[in-house]
Amino acid sequence: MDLQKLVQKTRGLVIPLVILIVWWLATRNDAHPSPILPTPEKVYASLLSLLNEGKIAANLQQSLAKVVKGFLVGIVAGFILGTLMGLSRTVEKLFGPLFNAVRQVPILGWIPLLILWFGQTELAKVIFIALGALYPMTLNTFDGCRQLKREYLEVAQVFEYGRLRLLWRFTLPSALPAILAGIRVSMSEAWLLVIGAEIFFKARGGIGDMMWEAKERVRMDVVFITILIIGLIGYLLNHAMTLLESRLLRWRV
Amino acid sequence: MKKQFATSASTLFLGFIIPTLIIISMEIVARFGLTTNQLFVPPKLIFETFSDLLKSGDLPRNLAISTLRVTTGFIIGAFAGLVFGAAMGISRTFEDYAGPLFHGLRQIPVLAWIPLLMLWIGIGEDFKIWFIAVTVFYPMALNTSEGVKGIPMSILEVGHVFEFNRLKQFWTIILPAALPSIFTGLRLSLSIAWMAVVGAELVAASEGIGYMMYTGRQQFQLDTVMVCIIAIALAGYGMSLVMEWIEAFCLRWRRTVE
Amino acid sequence: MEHTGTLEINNLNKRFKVNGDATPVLENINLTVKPGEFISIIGPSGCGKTTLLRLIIGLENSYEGEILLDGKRITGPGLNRGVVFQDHRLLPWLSVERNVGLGLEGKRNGNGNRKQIVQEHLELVGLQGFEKVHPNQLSGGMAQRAAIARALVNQPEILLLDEPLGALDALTRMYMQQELEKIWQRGKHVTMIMITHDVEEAVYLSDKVVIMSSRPGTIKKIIPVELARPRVRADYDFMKLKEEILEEFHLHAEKVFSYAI
Repeated sequence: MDLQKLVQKTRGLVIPLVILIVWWLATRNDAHPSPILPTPEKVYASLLSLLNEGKIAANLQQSLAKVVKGFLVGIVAGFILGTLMGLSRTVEKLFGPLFNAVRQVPILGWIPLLILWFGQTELAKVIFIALGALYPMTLNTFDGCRQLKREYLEVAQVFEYGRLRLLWRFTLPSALPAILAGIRVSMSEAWLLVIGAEIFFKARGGIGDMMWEAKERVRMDVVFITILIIGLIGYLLNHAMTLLESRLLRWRV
Repeated sequence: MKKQFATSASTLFLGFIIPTLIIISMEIVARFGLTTNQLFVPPKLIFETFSDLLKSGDLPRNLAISTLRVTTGFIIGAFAGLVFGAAMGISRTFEDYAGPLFHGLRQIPVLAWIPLLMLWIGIGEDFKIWFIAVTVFYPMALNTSEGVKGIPMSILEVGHVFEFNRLKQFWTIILPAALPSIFTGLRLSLSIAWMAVVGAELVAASEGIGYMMYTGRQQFQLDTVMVCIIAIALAGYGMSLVMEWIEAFCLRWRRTVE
Repeated sequence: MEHTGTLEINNLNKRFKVNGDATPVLENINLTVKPGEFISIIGPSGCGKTTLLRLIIGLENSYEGEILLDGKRITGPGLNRGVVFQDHRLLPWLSVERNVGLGLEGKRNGNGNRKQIVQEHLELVGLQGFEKVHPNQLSGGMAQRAAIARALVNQPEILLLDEPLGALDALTRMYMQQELEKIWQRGKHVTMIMITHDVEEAVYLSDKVVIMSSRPGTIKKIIPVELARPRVRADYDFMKLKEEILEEFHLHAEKVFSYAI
């Protein structure tokens, strides 16, 4: 690691370290510890006990199960919808305006409706997550299917490629970067919405629910811990998607 | 990049087919009493509830409250994000110091901030506005910093050649050149802000459109809930239109460059 | 293996409509290309040579007159007319061998035979060993060679080349001209119709040079090149032909030889 990079990395650590130190100092003097600012030691202790009890793993597992279900449904539906709209102008004109209109409603706005229709069930949560994952996937797939360069299309014509083979050999591979980007974004959306589902629906387990309960019991330490875990998982999921993307797109210039 | 589907005249016509079919079939189901499901709502009822709530002032009042929250939070968050993002883009040193923390906190999904902020700030107006501001801050900062970093060196060198001081460089070159990215960020942040306000009002409010939806759901008033959804969509769409006009105005020069 | 394929263009006219005004792009084109001939079409920008080629390929279809291949009217692109584009247009997501094999997909050849054909053509253009490589790893010359292999794999009756070496630097171009000739010889004399803006290239490679003038695009002159192959650029006859063609464009080559008697 050359000197410049070393300097950069060190600088990056300064502010977090300062914050940690200030936090530590601020919690020294309290005869009456404030419930909303726990001491670092307490946070650490809680973390260990939660790990020991396996609570973190159990809740994470529930959340991840939901995410995977909703995510898969969402990207499959989004892929189908995006391809159909991308390939056929008619389909685009039929569904496009409706899609745009529905998109104006923030995804959270659908929650009361979903609760009324499906109750406070797992199904409702999965549909909620799938809806959120559907939007970016559809848009990206649509863009991808539209962007086959004319130059390549002409190659297909010269080689007398029929419609189906054109789709398979030309349109879809050329759309692959956009599709993978859509999958990546959908993944982050899905993770965000699983937390949302656990906060806004009557919850039955999950890391988001754990966080909410901690808030209700004013256990700021647990809130800190869960936030960190949620962020960490989000980062790992995103990272995994990015790796997948670069692996599949090695042919890119 | 603006992702929209085609909107020409023939498109408009075709686009109405499916919604019209849906409404018609809903009406048919209602008229012929094909279902006794309580949770089914005939379009006529939605329309009536809409006008009732409009006349009684409930809808406009709540909508206005939410819109005000969105606007306030949006302005605060967007401004902070812009400044922070510009700083990150312009100064390598600033980015070195602030970057890791910024990107680290960015991994946390916005909704996870709700419990934290609720414990720290409570559940009043302040909470909602700060929550919106936080959700808006991130995309704004990112887009701005990318916009600034994306300015081609060739353009920056023009300023150097003419010996612009730092302020002049910023106002004449950096800000306009980054403006397209900034507007992309603003458009994105606006929809996120609406999501934030709905979220905040669903968990901690006594008024506002989100709260109206919440009570509507609790009281099994499907029609109210649908009216609220439509109202939110309209309000959000309206604000994004305004944003587009502002953008078109500020970026008049872009058409000639492209 | 015999390559049939007589191309006849009779009274070809094409107009381009802009706001109601019809600008003639090509006027009164008459050309016959015999099987196995190597034809170059040369002309200034805007003379419609690319349009003419695209009409023969079948990527453009509105014209007056006749374009006949073996007496049959051309109605669209087809495997019997191979194309080498100026930008090689190799599919970036496929390896070289899959690109070259593009025209063979879906044919009843069976996989074993297909692999063999691809391999033969890779050897023909000198790219053996590069089967698994992706286009983004190839140099310009290599990519163009792969494009040529791809176009030949279906044994087309005619090969159409749209400034195939135009995107290459001058040194690579000279080298590729030699390679193109070798490929043509080894590939059993496919009929070639090539557009170029390089007079020397035209004289080096063709049996006939078709000179076009612009606005409207017409055939000005057809100059036969009857020199033995492979041709020598510094040869007196070679340079005389080059001069003759350049004069049609009111240009002059450097006079290396001048006899004063």
